Amino acid sequence: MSVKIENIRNFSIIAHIDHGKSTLSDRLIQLAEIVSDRDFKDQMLDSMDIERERGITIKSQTVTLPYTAADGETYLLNLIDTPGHVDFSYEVSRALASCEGAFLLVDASQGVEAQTLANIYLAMEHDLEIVPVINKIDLPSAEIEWAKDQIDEDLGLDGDSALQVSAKTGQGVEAVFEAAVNLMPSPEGDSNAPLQALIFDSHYDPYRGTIVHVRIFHGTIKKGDKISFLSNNSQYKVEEVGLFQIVRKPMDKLEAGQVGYIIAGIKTIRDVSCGDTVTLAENPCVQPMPGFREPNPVVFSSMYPVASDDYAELTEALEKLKLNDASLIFEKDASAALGFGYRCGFLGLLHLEVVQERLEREYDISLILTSPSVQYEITRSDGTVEIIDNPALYPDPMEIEKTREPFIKAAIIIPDRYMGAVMQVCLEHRGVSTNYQYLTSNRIEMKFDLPLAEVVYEFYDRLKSVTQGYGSFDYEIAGYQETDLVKLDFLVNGERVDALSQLVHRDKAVDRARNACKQLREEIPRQMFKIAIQGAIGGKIISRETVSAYRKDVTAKCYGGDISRKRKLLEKQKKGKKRMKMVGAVEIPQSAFLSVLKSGK
Amino acid sequence: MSEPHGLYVHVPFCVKKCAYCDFYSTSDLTLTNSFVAALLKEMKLRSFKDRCIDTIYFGGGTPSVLTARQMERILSGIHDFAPVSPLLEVTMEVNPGTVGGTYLADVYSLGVNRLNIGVQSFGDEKLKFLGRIHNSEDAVKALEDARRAGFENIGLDLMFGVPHEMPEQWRKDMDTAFSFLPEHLSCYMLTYEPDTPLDNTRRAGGVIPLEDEKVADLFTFTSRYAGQLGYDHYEVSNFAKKKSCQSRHNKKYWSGVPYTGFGPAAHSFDGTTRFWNHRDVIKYIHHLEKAELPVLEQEFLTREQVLMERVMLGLRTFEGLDISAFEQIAGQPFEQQFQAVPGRVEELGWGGISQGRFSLNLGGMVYLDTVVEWFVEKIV
Ligand SMILES: Nc1nc2c(ncn2[C@@H]2O[C@H](COP(=O)(O)OP(=O)(O)OP(=O)(O)O)[C@@H](O)[C@H]2O)c(=O)[nH]1
Ligand code: SF4
Ligand SMILES: [Mg+2]
Repeated sequence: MSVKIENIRNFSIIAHIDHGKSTLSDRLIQLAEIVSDRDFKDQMLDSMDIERERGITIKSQTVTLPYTAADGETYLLNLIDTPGHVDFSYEVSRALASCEGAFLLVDASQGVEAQTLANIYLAMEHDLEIVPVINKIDLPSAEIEWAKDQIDEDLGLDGDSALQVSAKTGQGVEAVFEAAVNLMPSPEGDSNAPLQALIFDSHYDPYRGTIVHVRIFHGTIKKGDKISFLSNNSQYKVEEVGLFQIVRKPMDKLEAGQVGYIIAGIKTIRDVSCGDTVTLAENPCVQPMPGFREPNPVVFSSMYPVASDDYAELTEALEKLKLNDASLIFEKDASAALGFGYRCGFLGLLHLEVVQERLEREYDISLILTSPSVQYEITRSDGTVEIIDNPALYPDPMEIEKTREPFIKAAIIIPDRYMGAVMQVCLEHRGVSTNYQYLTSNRIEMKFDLPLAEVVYEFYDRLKSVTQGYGSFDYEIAGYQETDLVKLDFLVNGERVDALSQLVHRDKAVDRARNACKQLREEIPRQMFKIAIQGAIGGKIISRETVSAYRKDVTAKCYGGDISRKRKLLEKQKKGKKRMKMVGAVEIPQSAFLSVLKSGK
Repeated sequence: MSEPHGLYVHVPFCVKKCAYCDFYSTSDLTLTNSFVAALLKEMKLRSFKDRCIDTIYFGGGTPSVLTARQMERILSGIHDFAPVSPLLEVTMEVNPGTVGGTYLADVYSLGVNRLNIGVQSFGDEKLKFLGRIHNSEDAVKALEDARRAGFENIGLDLMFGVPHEMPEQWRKDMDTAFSFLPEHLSCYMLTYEPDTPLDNTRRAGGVIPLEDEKVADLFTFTSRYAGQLGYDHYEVSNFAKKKSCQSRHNKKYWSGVPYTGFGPAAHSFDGTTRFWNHRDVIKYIHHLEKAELPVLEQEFLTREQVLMERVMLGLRTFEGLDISAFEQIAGQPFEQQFQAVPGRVEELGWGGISQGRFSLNLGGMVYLDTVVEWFVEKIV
C-alpha cells in the first residue's frame, strides 16, 4: 500500500459539535471498504466508552483510507476525525498540524456556530486548504441556501462551491474523496532526507509500551532503525511501524508525507511528549519541528486517590493518561484530610469529567476531586501579587489588599424566543449584557461579560436547560476584574475538611454553603453518633445540617426466591463503602465530595 | 435420596395490579390455559427422580385466578415431576376477591393443605389506597370459607406502614386478624418499589411515606402484641401460632437450601447456581412451545456471595445464623472473619451469640439492614 507522495492526502474533518464529523468519517470508511459490514458500527472512530455513552468525540482519531479516484490513480487518504466540543480544541489543533487540508462541516439546519468559527481560525493558522461541506441536507429543516450565505459571509469561503452531503444517507459523500484528491495539496517532503517526524499524539499499550503517533515530514523510518527523540535524546530501536486502519496495520516503512505509528518498546513513559520530533540516531535532522503551543487550562482541581496507598498508582495513571491527553497538566499537591494527590489543570469542566472518568475506567482508580476553581489574582497589603487557584493557599483575608477574578466575553447564539430566559440566567451569574444583534430574522447573538468562575460552576448546564439545547455558547478569556472573594470552609463533626473548601463570591457564599451542606447530609451515611455538617467563612458558621445517628432501617418486605436482587443491592452498597474516606471519626464517601462539586444543580 | 426439596410455582396473573406491587403478573386472564400447558412442559423438561418434594408453594400473582380444574392439572404434573414426601406441605396464596362458591373446598380436596390469604387489611379505605380488588367483607368471608372448607393451616397477609397509619389503626387490623385464630400471620411493611404506580405517585409528591421511625415503631409494636397473644415472631415479617405452623417452604429461602421454581420470573437455586425464567408470560409460553427452557439468566454464586446471602437471610430469622454451618463455607472461624462486628452488635444490646447461633433480638431487628451491611463489609 505504498504510494508516491503526490498520491497522499492528509486532512482533518472539523466542525462545531454534532455537525456530523464522525458520521461522515463512517461513510468514508465504508466507501474505502477497510472494515467488514459485520465489524462496522456507527461513529466507528468514537472508540472510547465515554465517547459512545455521551455521543461525542473526545479524541482525534486517524484512519488511512485507500481510494481509487476517478482519474484511475490510487491514493492514500489520511483522515483525522476531530472533536467539536470547545474543551477538546487542543486535540483539533494538533491534528491540524499534521494535515495539508481540512473539510469544514456545516450542519444545514444549524448553520455556522461558535466552534465552526473557532476551528476555521485554527485551520487558517496552519495554512490549510479549507473545503466547506454542507452536511445533513436530508433533514426536513435543512436550509441549504442559508447555509451557503453563512459560509460566504461568516467564513469568507465560497458557499456555492461547498459540497452538499448527507453523512447519514451517504448522499454526495463520494465527492468528498474526489475533493480531497483534487482540491487538497499533496504533502511536500523528501523521503531521502534525514528523518523528521512530529509526534502529534500517543497512547500506552500494556504489552508494547508507548505507541507514538507521527506525521513524517522528511525521511523514512522502518523496523530496526534506531530512533532518537530530539527533546531528551533518548534512543530506541524500532519494532514496528504502520498505519491506522481502525486496527494497527504494520507496514515495511513510513515515508515522508505519511501519518502512522511507531512501536519501539518504549517503557519509560516520560520519554515521549507531544510536539517532540523523532529522528534517526545515526543521521539526525538538524531542526526540531515547531511543536505545539502549551495548553491553557482554565479550571483547576485537586485529585486524591480514595485509598491513600494508591498514590503511586495515581501518579503512573496520570502519566500514562497524559500520553493520550496532551492537554492535561498536573503537579503534586497535599491535603490534611486526603493525603497526597495532584493539582490538575483542565481546559473546561467537561474535560475535568472526562479525565476523572478515564482514570477510573482505564486505570481502575477511585478518585476524590476538590471543588473546581479558576485562577484568582491576589494583591497583598505589601503590594505583592500572586495567582491562586487553590483554596488551601488562600491568604488570611487581613493580608489581602484586593482580589481580581478572570472574566470572559461570552457569545451566546439562540433562537430569539429564549432571549428573556438567557438574560435571566446571565444576570443570576453576575453577568453584564454588553450587546446583542439579530443574525437572521429569529436567531440572535447576545454578548455578555461573565466571571469565568460562574461558567465553571453551573452556568453552562443552566443555559442548556433554559434554551432546551438550542443555545450555542462560546467564550474567550477577557482579562481580570476586581471582585469580592471569600473562602468557604466546611466542617464535618467539628473538623474542617480542607478538600471541601471553595473560593466563592461573597454574594453567593450563603447559598452555596446551604446547598453543599444539604448535599453532604444526603451523602454521608448515618454513623454511630450525630454528625454536624457546617459551612463557615472564617470562624463564622453560615449554614448547618445534621446527620442523625442510625436510622431504623428494617425492611420487612417479602421477596420470595428473588434473592439475587437483594444481594446485588448489598454488593453495590459495599462497593460504595470501599470508596469512603475517614475524616476524623467520620466516614465520608467519595460521592459526598463529588456532590459538593456539583451542588449548584 | 438427598434432602427433601421445595418447589415454587409462580402463577403470573392478577385480576388487577395493586398499586405497590412489583411481583411479575399480568391481568390478561385469557392466557391461563396456555400458561398451564407451558408450566406442565417446563416440569417435564426439568423433571428429576433423585430428590423428593416436601413443600410446594403456589405464589404469584394470584394463584386463585386459576380454576380448580387447572390446579388439578398442575398438581398431577408435579407428581410426575418428582417423587413427593408423605409429609407434603402445599401452600396456596389466594386473593379474597377470587375465592367464591366452592373454590376453597375444591382446592382443599386436591391436596392443598395450607392457605395464605392476601387480606392486607380489614379497613376498606386502606384496601382502596393499596389498590386491592377486594373489600373487608370479602376478606372475612374468605377466612370463614377457608375453615369451613376444612383448612387447618391458614395464614393471612397484612400490610402496615401506610401513610398516616397510627398504632391504634394498625392494632384494629391485627385484632380482627387474630379473631380468626389463624395458624400463621405475615405482616409486611409497605415499601415503595421503583416503577410501581405507588412509587411514581410518591415521586410526584402525591403520597408522603410514613417516617422510618414510625414504621419501626409499628414493627416493634406488632411483635410485642402478637407475642402477648402467643404468636411466635420467627422471621422479620412472619408469626406462627406453634412451631409446626411456620412456613416450611419459606424457611428454605432463609436457610439457603436449594429450591426449584417454575413459571415466569421464578427463581431456582441449587446451592451454587441460581437461575431465573423470563419475566414475561408470552415469552415463557413461546419458549416452552419450542420445548426450550424459558431461562432468562443464571448466575454462579462465588463463595463470598453465598456467605453474603447466608448473612442477609439468616439474620432475618430470630433463630439466626448457624455459626458452624457458616464457618464450613467460609473456611475460617466466625470471630476471625467478622472481627469486632458481633461484639459491636452485642454492646448495642441488639443481639449476640447463643447456642452456636448468632441472632438479633427485636431491638436489633429494627436495624437489620445496618447490621447486615456491617457483616457484609467483612466478607472478602
Ligand atoms: N439527519 C442527519 N443526521 C446526521 C447527519 N450526520 C450526522 N447526523 C447525526 O448528528 C448527530 C451527531 O453526529 P456525529 O457524527 O456524532 O457528530 P460529530 O460532529 O462527530 O460530533 P462531535 O464529535 O461530538 O463534535 C448524530 O445523531 C448523527 O446521527 C446527516 O447527514 N443527516
Ligand atoms: S394481588 Fe398480589 S401479586 Fe397481584 S398485584 Fe396485588 S399484590 Fe401483586
Ligand atoms: Mg464526532
